[in-house]
Parts: sequence; C-alpha cells; structure tokens
Amino acid sequence: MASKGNLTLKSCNGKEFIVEEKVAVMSTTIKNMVDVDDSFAQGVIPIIGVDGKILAKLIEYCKEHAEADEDEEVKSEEYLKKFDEKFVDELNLNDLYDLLKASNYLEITKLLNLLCQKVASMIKGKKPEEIRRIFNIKNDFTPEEEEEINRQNPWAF
Amino acid sequence: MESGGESGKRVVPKSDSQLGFIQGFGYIPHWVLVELLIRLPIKRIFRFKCVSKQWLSLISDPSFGRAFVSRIEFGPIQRRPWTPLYKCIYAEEIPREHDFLGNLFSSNVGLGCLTKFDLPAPAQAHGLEVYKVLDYIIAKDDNGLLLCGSHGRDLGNYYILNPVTKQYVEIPRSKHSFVYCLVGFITQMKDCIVTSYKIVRLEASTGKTSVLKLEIFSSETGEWRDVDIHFEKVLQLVPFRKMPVVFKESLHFVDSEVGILAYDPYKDPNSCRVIKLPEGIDRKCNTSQSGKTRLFDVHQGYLRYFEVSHALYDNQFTSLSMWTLSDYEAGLWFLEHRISHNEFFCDISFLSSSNLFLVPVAFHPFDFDTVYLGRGKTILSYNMQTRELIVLGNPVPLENISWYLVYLFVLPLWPVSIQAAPSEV
Repeated sequence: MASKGNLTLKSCNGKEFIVEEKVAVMSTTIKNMVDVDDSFAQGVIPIIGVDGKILAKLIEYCKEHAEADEDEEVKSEEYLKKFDEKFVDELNLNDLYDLLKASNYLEITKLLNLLCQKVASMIKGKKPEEIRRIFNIKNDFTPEEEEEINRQNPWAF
Repeated sequence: MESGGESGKRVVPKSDSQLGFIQGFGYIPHWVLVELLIRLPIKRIFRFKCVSKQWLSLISDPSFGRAFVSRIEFGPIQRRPWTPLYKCIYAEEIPREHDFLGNLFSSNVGLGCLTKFDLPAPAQAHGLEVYKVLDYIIAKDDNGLLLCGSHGRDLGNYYILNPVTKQYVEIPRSKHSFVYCLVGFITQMKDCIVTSYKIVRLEASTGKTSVLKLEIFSSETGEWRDVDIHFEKVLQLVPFRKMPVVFKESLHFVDSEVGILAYDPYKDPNSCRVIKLPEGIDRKCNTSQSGKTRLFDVHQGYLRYFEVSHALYDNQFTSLSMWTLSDYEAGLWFLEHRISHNEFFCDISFLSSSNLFLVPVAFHPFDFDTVYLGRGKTILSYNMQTRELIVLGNPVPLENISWYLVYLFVLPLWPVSIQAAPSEV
C-alpha cells in the first residue's frame, strides 16, 4: 500500500511500482483517473498493456522531468536536454516502439514528442525502399504506379 | 570466447542491427505514423508517398496537411522556402540557374522563372507564344497559387496554377475587353484546400471617371459578373500593371493618382475604400517611371511602400524611402526609413558604375531589415539597419530582364489544392 502522496502503479505482468504522485501525474491519463476517482489514489492503478520493463522506463523519465519542474536549479534545462538525449539513445528499437505506444496511451506528451522526434530523425535520410524494410511494409504499387506518383511530385526530389 | 557460436553470429554492423530491430515494428498504427511523418521536412513527406498505398492515402488526406501545419504553427518559427519569381512564363528552356524549383529550395537568392516545362499539358496548350514568352503570371494569392494567362489587352483568359504541385484549373473567358486592366486574385481556404476564389478585373483605362468598372469571377457561380462602383468625386486613374496585394482578406490595387484601392469582393463587393499614398513620396519620379521604382507589398504583417527616387535628368538614384501603413483603419503612414545615395555602405565599383537605376524587387519574407533591388542584370540586397548594399551572385543571363515584373513567391506550409473547380465539374 502506498503511503500518502505516493501512488502504486501495476504493470500488465503484475509488477508494482510505488511512485510519488507528482511523478505519476506527468501522465494525463493517470492524473484524470486520480482526479475523478479517489479510490485510485488509495489503491493500485493498473497500467493496461504496459509491461514492467517499459513501465520502469516511463517512471525513470517522468521522475527526472517532475523533479526538474519542481526545482529548476538542481535540474536545469541543459541537464534535461542531456538526459533526454541519453534516454532515447539507449533504447533499442523494440523498446522505442513500445514506449511510443505506452506514452500515447498514458498521454505523456513530452515523452511522446521526444520519441517521435527520435524515430523521425532515424527515417529522415532513408529511401522509400529502406522505409519499407524498416517498417515491414509491402510495396503494393506496380512500378508504373510508383513512377506516376513520383512524377506528380518532382519538386520533392 | 566462451559464449562463442550462436551469440557470435549476432555481431553485425550497427546500421544493420538497427534495421533488424525496427523490423520488429511490424504494423504501425495510424496515429503513430501521422506523429512520425509530420516531424519530417515537407519534401521528405512527399517522397514517401510512394512507400505504400496506406502511406499515400494518409499523406494525401486533408487531415494530414492540417496536422502538419498546426504542428509548425505552434512550434518555433520556421523559414519557408521562397524565391523571387519572374512574371514571364518562357516557351523554351532557360539557363538552369533560373529553374523555379531549384531557386525555391536553394538557400541562395536567385531569380526563379517558370517555363513551359513546369506546366501541365493543358496549361502548355493554353499559351500563345510571343517573343519566346508563352504566358504571364497575372496575379497571385497569398497561398502559393498563381493566376496565369496571356497578357493581351483583350478578354481575360486565365487559368489558376499551383506551380509546385502543378494543379491546373481553367477559368471561363471574361465578358469584357478592357484597354487597361488590373487583375486581382483572392482565395479562401480550409484545411489547405481552397474552398472559394474570386478574380477581380478592374478597368483602369487612363482618364477621369467617377465610376469604377469591375468584372468579378466567383468560383461559387462559375461566372463573371459586372460591378460598378460610384465615387462622389472624379477619379483620375493612372494605373500601373503591378499585381494587387492581398491583405486582411482584401485586394489592394495601387493607383498613382488616387492611392490604394482596397476592395473586399466577399464582404463588401459594392464599395471600395481609398487609402491615400504616403505624404512625401516622389510623385514626379513615380510618374516618369510609370511606377517601376516603387514596391508595395505585405511585409512583417504590415502594408509597406518602398520607393527609390531617381534624378529626372540622368536616371541615377538619389534616395530610398520606406513607409509602413501603421494604422490600417485610419490610413496612417509612418516613414520608417530614408537614406540618400551618399549615405550607403557599398562596394566602390558599384557607385562608379554608370547605371545606377535601381528597381525595388521584393521585401525579404522573413527578415525585417532586408529588401531586394535589381539593377541592370544583377540582384542587390539592401539592409536598412546596417545601410549595406550588396551585389548578390552573378548577372542574370536572361535577355531584357525587367525587375519591376518580379514578385515574391513563398512556399505555403503545406501545398494547397483547389476543390470543386468549375472546369472540372
């Protein structure tokens, strides 16, 4: 049971995390749950579809940012920027994707933005055929159709 | 090594291992794709249209354009691609350095020109080639669309062109033949789609009149109609065929005698407001040069009037001035800048040149202090803060370049498309 000011979050594979409320409410979804229903603040909040590993990552991120919001001197903008960079660089791509989904579900806007930016920078320089490989997409155009689409957008090349 | 065998095989170059990981992405939900793609540069996004049918339909959907634009609008200010654009659409190949798209996406300031090869087939067939010029850009809206046509003093015979996406919409011929005519083009948009547009032709035959004759085409009706606006006093129109400026959803035609005619064909089609020109403009020079030496445009959210004064006896420039319409409703101008020819910082070779006839070309779309000027075959930039006048790049190899026929083209945040065009019905 979480003490006052703390919340308990439970992952889909049963792992429980006790976190400070200010950290947990970085997630708009959790904030809404706590605001609407007091029993969540007392009991355990189930985080559906997010496993323990990913939830731990989310909490790590939210902790740093919640603390920085509270005390700018200890954790400066510069510090946060470095933390963010390191945070996304250390993720493998499966985790990156799982975190993307989780931060969308939990509405952690800052993190979602950070992750999208990371993936966007990874695909920015890629050719269409590389994009297909990366995202496992089947090219459902005939070569003629593909040529026609590119012909319509000559300015993009 | 102990682990050997299997794990040893996993040692692969970093880039490949990254790709391997991403292959685990599998199916990408719609929202993730949108969030990812709107963070890419616009050219990239259009290149990725050919990835798959799902990507094509996602990127082509108006909601995607809306998401892309709103992210940029609320984000840090971005400089959009832009280029000075020449009024003539050439009927043949021109030197590569004047390629429209090349200039649009280049960081150098060069003169962009459209040619026949930039046009879709129906637009190519539309033009009547005269002296290597196929057609002209007659007017532009403020959303990256051009109104083009032949510039004969006969019937209005126009088409709308998006020079980037090549969308083409033909307009039915106008009913009247005006000896002199000023043409304005204004559009209304929703989600990067043009939902309505109007073309306004203003008869500007030199002479005294108290009736302004207009002919207006509306996309709603697909027809031209006449509008006469009566003035209490007699106007003497001395028109110069530069494009009217779109500002605050109205068209602003400049007339050397009367002033600026502000006309809103949507809200108030039966009247026209006159805004006086700034006090202290060089009317003599303006008249003798037929308005070539002035620039009137929107800059930094204001209407601005820039003027180069020239001595009447030798056509050498004497001063530069710029006024801002600081109070639009009251019609109040503010003299923002004035400098005479001996107060500049510029290259000695420039001043020793025999040709000091300067034509203002365009305001820099994102820089408050910079304005571009043309002289002979070169573009110059002038910084009003530092008073520096700099010659940019090489001389333009085109014959008979007329700097007063150059306009600013700025790429919209997202390419607009025209809906429900009359010719497509």
